[in-house]
Amino acid sequence: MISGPLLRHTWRAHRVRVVVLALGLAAWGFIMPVVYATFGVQMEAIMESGIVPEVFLRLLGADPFSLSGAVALGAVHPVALGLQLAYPVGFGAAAIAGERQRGTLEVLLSRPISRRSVFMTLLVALAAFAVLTTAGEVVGTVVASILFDVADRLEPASLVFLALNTVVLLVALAAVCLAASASFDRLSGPIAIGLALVIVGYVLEVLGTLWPDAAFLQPYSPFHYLRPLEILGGRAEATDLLVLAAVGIAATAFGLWHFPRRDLAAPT
Amino acid sequence: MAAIETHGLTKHYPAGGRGPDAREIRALDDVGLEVHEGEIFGFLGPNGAGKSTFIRLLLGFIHATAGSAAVLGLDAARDSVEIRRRTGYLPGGIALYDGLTGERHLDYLAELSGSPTVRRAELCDRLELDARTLRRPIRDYSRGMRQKIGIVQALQHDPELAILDEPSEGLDPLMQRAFYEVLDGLRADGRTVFFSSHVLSEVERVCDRVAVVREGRLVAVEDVATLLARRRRRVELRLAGPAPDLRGVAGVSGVVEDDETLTCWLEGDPRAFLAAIAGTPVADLTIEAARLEDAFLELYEAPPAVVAPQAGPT
Repeated sequence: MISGPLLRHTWRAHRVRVVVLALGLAAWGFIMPVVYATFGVQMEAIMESGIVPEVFLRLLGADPFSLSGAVALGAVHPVALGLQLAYPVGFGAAAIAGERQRGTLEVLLSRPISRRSVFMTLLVALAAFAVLTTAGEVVGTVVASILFDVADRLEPASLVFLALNTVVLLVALAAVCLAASASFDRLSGPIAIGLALVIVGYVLEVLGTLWPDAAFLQPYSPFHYLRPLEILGGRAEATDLLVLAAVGIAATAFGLWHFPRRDLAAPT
Repeated sequence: MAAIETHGLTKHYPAGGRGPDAREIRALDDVGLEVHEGEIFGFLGPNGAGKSTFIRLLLGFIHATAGSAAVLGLDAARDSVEIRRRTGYLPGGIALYDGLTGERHLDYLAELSGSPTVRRAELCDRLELDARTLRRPIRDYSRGMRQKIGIVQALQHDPELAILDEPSEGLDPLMQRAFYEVLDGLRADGRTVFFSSHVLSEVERVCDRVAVVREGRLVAVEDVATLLARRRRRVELRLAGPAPDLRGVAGVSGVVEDDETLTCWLEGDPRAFLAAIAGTPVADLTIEAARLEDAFLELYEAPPAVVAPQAGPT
């Protein structure tokens, strides 16, 4: 089901960018413990003084200037999410539709490789990229925590669970974007679907956080199922993983069913 | 066993509109064809006639609306991966991975095929793709060089059947000749080649048999020699005396006499015509060579007459 040559080709084509993203996320992950170690006490005093509006505190989470709070904030910050989502959404949406648009899918599929194998191989590549970029962020956080002597304030099992939850979220989004990619002849369709999924999902989640009356919208956002503050506070919920896994499995099943049935007419 | 065998192969596409406005494009209609092992078979037709649709059905890129196709004895819909393992395919207007070098591109496609590249060196040699050229990125290649890479990737693993869509497109005349020699080599080795083209001179040069497709329907399947022999040729006689009486001579039609010139059409066996002009004082005689192009144009100018599906139980 997995094509070794295609997997190696995909890795060779993307390894530099993936490593750069992983390093970027490592740097980002490094910053959060540094911020906590350097400014945590002062920031906590500011927060407790009541100067900062309550709505802003809600957005940051209940415990923004503990180490867990800082790491959790870093994990769902738009910068981190932007870096994390570049591959699952960008490459996921472009992987098949891009080859189709350029005409190279024809050359690939003229070899003895099934469309299901193409789909699964690309999904495995995306999952591997997600593991690498997430690992980059975790390594950055752990290294900074050790260097600044605050590592004892992080629970390793919780950090592993957070990484796992992040990877499952990224793979679920990648599966949705890849299924969209396998359904279109042009890039614009799957890119639009991927961006809509991310932007609308993020807006729903933030809106629900800031405005309690809109909280009912949050379960419709994929980002609702990544709750770093709860995870790092020891309140991880397996149902979040299950929901994301179900989305990923449903998207994968659709892609594996639909892609082989599509007519791939001659490129125009 | 036939290399390719189709029965009633049909492909319709939905085209615009819904409900009562829904229409269908009949890309291919009831095509029955048999391509024998070891032959070079030309598939002719102008753009949009259904050539690429036929090829894509054989390779499983699209799914038939009706009918069936077998390639190397395998069902085209069910066994397409195995068919592609034993087949070499050159898509029309091939797109390549621009970021790879020619060599890396060929290696990658060979890895995907999982077969040794037994013909690569010979093909690169014939098509003048030297090691230096192959080390350059494909984005720097001209159209002709890309086509050469396309030909090499299709044939490098010495497939039992080569399916080539417009293979000489973009090649200069010297390279076209080299490519025809490659095809001759494949024929000598007993390989089957199925290729679509609208360059009739190359089809005439390399093919054993041809099929002509028009508006999705097969209108002729013939040996090239038979097709040419059946074709009308224009004859011009410059006379040095009285004109011969050509009325009722087999194969002769459209006789026009001028002062010193007689022109007519000659179809099929010329012996009756030659016997009829024996003894005539002829200053000069011109019989135009039969060309596939004329045969093709005749088939296209005539009202559509569809050949009976050719493939059948044997």
